[in-house]
Amino acid sequence: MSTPIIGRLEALLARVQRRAQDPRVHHVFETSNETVAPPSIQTVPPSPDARAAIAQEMNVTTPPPPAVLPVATVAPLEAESHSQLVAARGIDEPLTDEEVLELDDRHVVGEEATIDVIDEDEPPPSSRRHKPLDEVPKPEVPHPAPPESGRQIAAQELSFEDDLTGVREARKDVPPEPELEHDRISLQSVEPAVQATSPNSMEMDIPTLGAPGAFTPEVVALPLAAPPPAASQVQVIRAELREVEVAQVSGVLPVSFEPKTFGELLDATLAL
Amino acid sequence: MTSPDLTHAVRFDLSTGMVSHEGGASVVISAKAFGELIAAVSADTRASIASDLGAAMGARIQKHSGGEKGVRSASLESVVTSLSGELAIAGFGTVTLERWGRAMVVHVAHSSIQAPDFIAVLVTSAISASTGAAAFSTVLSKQDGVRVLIASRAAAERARKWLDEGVTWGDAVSRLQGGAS
Repeated sequence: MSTPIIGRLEALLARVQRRAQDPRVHHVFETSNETVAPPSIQTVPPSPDARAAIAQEMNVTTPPPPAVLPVATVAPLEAESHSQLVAARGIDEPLTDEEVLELDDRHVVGEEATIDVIDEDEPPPSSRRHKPLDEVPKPEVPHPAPPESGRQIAAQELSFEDDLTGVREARKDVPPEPELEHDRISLQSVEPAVQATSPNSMEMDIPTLGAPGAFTPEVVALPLAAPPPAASQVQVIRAELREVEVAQVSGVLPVSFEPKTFGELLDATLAL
Repeated sequence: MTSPDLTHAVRFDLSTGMVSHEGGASVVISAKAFGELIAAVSADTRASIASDLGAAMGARIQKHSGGEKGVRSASLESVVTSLSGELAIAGFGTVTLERWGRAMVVHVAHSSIQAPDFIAVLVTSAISASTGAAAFSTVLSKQDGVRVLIASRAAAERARKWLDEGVTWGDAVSRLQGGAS
């Protein structure tokens, strides 16, 4: 039963060798709007007897058969691949005539085509589907209540960056807050004596850790104004004025009416 | 001029039933009856009564002051005291003299007679009789007593005109002395 197979394989090998000597022809897949599935390739591993016969005839040493890996083809995003995965069968199983595929120029793969090795953990490419942006699940936001007349609903904190740009913010690992207790610390008592007397000293409430001594508060002195210069740096300029007569009075003020007797006032009022 | 001595100025003789004031016979009458009386008569009659009463007061002031010259040469306080005493004995209130610049304003308060015009003529007549000068008057205010302007005839008429036009009595007195207001 192996004789016909060997004969065919020998013929096939001879033809392959002959064509290998011919100049190489590159086939480039042209992309078009039409969805064209790339040719599917079925690999059929030769049987050990045939491999040994070929090796003996070609006088070469055949390496052990490599592990059969499914070959995936690159398909357009919006097209479904019609490639089928053929499970590797056992090497000892004989091949039928229908299972043997005769290779020709059509099966030569161009350099532009890429072949990806699919990880066994990932689903097959045919089962992949690129979801449009519209179908990206959005985080469920509680629908706000309908606004009342004259009111505006306060916008909730939404992160649009996550939906449109795909940017994900790193999760912030917030350390647990230590238990705080507010101790009123008078900064004036710990400041230097010079600053304690300064009118710019302030008092603040500084939260400290619960354990005394575990957190040493830093004394914060806020100088609100520049410190006054030293007395030796002050230069006092005083005006020097001479005593002169700055005013000059001219004319005579009218004498106010001061009647001394009743008769003077009577004459004055009768003269109006 | 010293302050007038009003001791026993009014004498009541109960045996004869006579009342005399500085030797002149008098009648004691209630203020209500006197007020109704002067209100019932004409303005000229009312002015004549007031003028007669004021002249009698001025004559007594002149008598106590040493004549017309004595009153003129007397101090303001002395004359006002004499005048106020005369009105007080008769029951017409007290007198305060206000000098507004050169203008003389007599303020009569606590009067039993609510007749400003009558009081104005009474005071003016007393001043004229005591000094011998022809004085005229205009009622400036009727609030808190009566304020009477003592002036010449022309000045009194101008002040009255301004008051009728709505000018305040202070502005009227100021205008009389050449004030801008």
